[in-house]
Formats: sequence, structure tokens, C-alpha cells
Amino acid sequence: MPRGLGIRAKNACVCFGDVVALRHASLTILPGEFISIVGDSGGGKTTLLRAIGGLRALSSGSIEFHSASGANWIPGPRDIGFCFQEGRLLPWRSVLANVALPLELEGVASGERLDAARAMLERMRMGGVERRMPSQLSGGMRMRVAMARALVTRPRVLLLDEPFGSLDEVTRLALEDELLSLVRESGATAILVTHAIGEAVVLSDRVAVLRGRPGSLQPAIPISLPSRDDEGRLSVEFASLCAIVQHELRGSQESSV
Amino acid sequence: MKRTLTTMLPPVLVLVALLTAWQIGVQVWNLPRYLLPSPWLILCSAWQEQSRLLAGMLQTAMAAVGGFGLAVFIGVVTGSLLGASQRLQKGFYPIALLLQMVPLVAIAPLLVIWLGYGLRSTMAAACIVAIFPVLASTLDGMRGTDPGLREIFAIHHAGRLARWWKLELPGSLPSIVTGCRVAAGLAVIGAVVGEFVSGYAGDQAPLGIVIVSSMREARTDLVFAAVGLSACVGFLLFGIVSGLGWLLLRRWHASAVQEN
Repeated sequence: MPRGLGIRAKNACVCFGDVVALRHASLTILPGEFISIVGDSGGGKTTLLRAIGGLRALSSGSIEFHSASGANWIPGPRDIGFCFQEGRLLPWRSVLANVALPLELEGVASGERLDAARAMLERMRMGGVERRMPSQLSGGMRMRVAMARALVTRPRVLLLDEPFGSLDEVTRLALEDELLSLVRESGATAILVTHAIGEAVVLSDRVAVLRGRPGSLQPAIPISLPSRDDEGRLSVEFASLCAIVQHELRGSQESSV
Repeated sequence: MKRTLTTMLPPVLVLVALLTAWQIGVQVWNLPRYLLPSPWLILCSAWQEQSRLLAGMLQTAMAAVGGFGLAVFIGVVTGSLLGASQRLQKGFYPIALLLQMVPLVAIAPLLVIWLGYGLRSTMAAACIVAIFPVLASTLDGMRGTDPGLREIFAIHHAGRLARWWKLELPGSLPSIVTGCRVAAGLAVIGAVVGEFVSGYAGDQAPLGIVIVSSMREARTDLVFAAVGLSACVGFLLFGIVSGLGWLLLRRWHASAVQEN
């Protein structure tokens, strides 16, 4: 049974005054599932992700969590890991202290939290840089540290807001593989917001398209690939699935023009 | 070492040139010593009166350091409270702004009434003058906290105190240190002005009293010596605060500079 939580969004709406940022989004995510949300800028992808993470209050509708056994679940401080595009590391803290921060906020004893942070950094192949400051890291390394921080509490839901958006192609591919294996290993439910269709297809079990601006969520497209590695990226299935998602997106662009 | 020399040398040279011009000017125009004593005479008088001046310097330094310390504590705590609550900020900040416009010389007699003559009053005067830059810089730092970093704390359900201690306060440190450097100079001004009104006369008279009593005795040389020493107290305090600030921000600063 996966550790990840199931998520049910029903008619979720977010408004800022008169501006509608998210319109009647309904989505069911299974425990342990990896789902990506793609769509135009301003469609409400990030707003939906933040609403799931509890960073945005819903104007109407609901978002509920449940365990793999179906029991309702109210997420605690450890249950949600959030990885942002810019990494968002505290510039005055070392890499190790940054990764240990979520555990520190929870009051975990110093030795225990530093051991956990070290182990997570080792897992991310970042063992040698724990004493460095964020400014001394490359973009890819910062993202690894941000991922390590998001995963250090062993979250049941991992939210990823365009985490690879500002990275070069080589680093991006390496980190995509890394992310996939980490998510599979942890059994967490993962939601990825991205502009990159290929990234969404190769990583996800399903891809959801937010159509229009503000977007309306289309039924998610199931993804089935022979493999999730470089070979998978070269497969016919990958190309056709990318085309299907692209078609959905183009539809969304036509409808928004 | 070479860099320190190239930084220090130009102002030292200018200072030496100015003092030489002053010395020559006084001798050429034969100016009376009560009007403008020569630098050499000031130095000689200061040497003769060294015990009185050093005791005064110690008193003034105590008032300035004590007042500055109080100002930092009250300024950071108040600035943090105002930064944490929009309502408090709207209610109290305009009043704090108005209060800092009240001239210290006008408040000093009140301090004597409330706290009596001596160190407590002068310390309070130093504190009142120094408090606003610390408060304003703390508030600025708090308001400037990166909203993205706040979200990291919100995701992990961090409490208000943890957010202040681990995010807002360290994030505000560069701004607070700048405020403290301004406050360090102001604290000495506040202490000396406070001493004009509330300082004790006698062997342990602070520099403010030395200045006033020397003026009455037409000992302009001693007035200059006391003014010079109060400036030294200011430099010293400013230097110590800057050094401590550098130590505090060493790691932070390097990263912030590179990140920008």
C-alpha cells in the first residue's frame, strides 16, 4: 500500500478580488500517483498547486486528502513537501542547515535532524557540499538541495512548481531521472506543474491540462511508456503522447484566443 | 595591508595638512587663545588635564554605550512587534516618527525630573536619540522579508516565534546592522547633549560638563580637547559596531552579494 495520500479537489475556485485565478477545478489523484499539470501561463496551475499545499485559501469548493485505505487525512507539517522553481534556500544558512530546516521547525533534536539531512544529501549525491552556502552552488546543485529539503521529512505529498524551469537541458534530464527514482522510492504522491510537455509525459502516470485563462481542468491523460529513461524518450509512445498533450494544449490556446 | 594603507593614507594626509594650516594660521595672525587655540596648545592642555578628560571620556562612553545598548534592544523588539502586526504598525509608527522630531534638548530637563542628575539621565538621552534608526531599520528588514521564504515556513506550519527567530530576524540583520551604525554615532551626540543638562560636575564630570565649564572659564583649548575626545568615543563605538556587524554578516553578506 503506497504511503502517499490521495487528493480530491472538487470545484476548487480561487479568486483575488474580482480576478478569478482558478475556476472550478476538479481532480482526483490516487495515493502514490505522479501527476503533471500543464497549461498556459495564467491558467491557474500554480494556484491549484498552492491551494493543495495550503498556501492559498479556496474561495469555494474543497480539497480533501485521504490515505491509501480511504480514511480522511488532515496533512500535518511533515506530510507535504514543496519544491519551488527558484529553490528558495535561506541565503544565511549552509546547505546542511537548509535541508534540516523543516525538521528543525518541527522541533526534531539537533543530532537527529542533521543526520537525516546528511543522509538525504548523500542520497542526492550532494554529500561533499553540506557546509557550503547557497550562493556557492550552481543552479542544478541548488535545485538538488531544494529537493532534498522538500523530501527530508519523507512527505506523503510532493508538490513541484516548475522545479527545472531555469535549468539547462543536461542538468534537467539528470534531475528528472533523479526525481522519478526518489518519488518511486518514497511512495509519495507527486504533483508537478510544468511548461515542458516532454518532462510531464516522461515523469507522470497522468497529465492534466488546464484549458483557457483562467483554466478549466480537462480529464487527465493516462501515460503508458515502455520505460521512463532515455529509451522511453525515444519511443513512439512518448512521441504520440507528447502530441496528444500538445493537441490538448493547442485546443486550450485556440479557446483562449 | 597595502589596501588598508591606500584607504587610510589620503584622509590622514588631509588631516595633517589641515592641522598644519591651522597651527600656522593661528601663529601668523596671532589669534587670541580664547578665540582659537592652536592644535599644539590644545594637545598640551589635554596632556596636562589628562586625568580629568579621561575620566570624563569614560563617563560619556558609559552613557553612550549603555544608551546604545538599550536603544538596540528596544528598537529591535519594537520594530519586530510593529513588523509582525499591520494594526500595531499603523497605530504606533506615525507616533514614533513624530516623537523622533522632538528635539532632545527640550526633553533633557524632563529626564532630569524623572531620573535625576547623572548617568541614568544621560544614558536615557543617548537611548532616545539612537532608538529610531534601529527601530526603522528593523521594521524595514521585517517588511522586506522574501515572501517566497515565508511560504517555506508556512508549508511546514512554523509558529510565529520560529518564523521571527529563524527567518525574519536573520533576514533583517543587514538592515539592522546599518541602523545600528547610524545609531552608534547618534548615541554619543545624545549622551553629550544630555550631559549639558543633566551631567554631574566634579572629578568624574563627563565630557559634556567639561565642555560647558571650560567654556565658562574661557578655556577654549579644553573645549576643543573635550570635543575631540567625544568624537573619539563616537569613532570607537562606530568602529566596534561595524566590526561586530561584519562578523555577524560575514557568511550572510558573501552569499547575498554573490546572489545579487
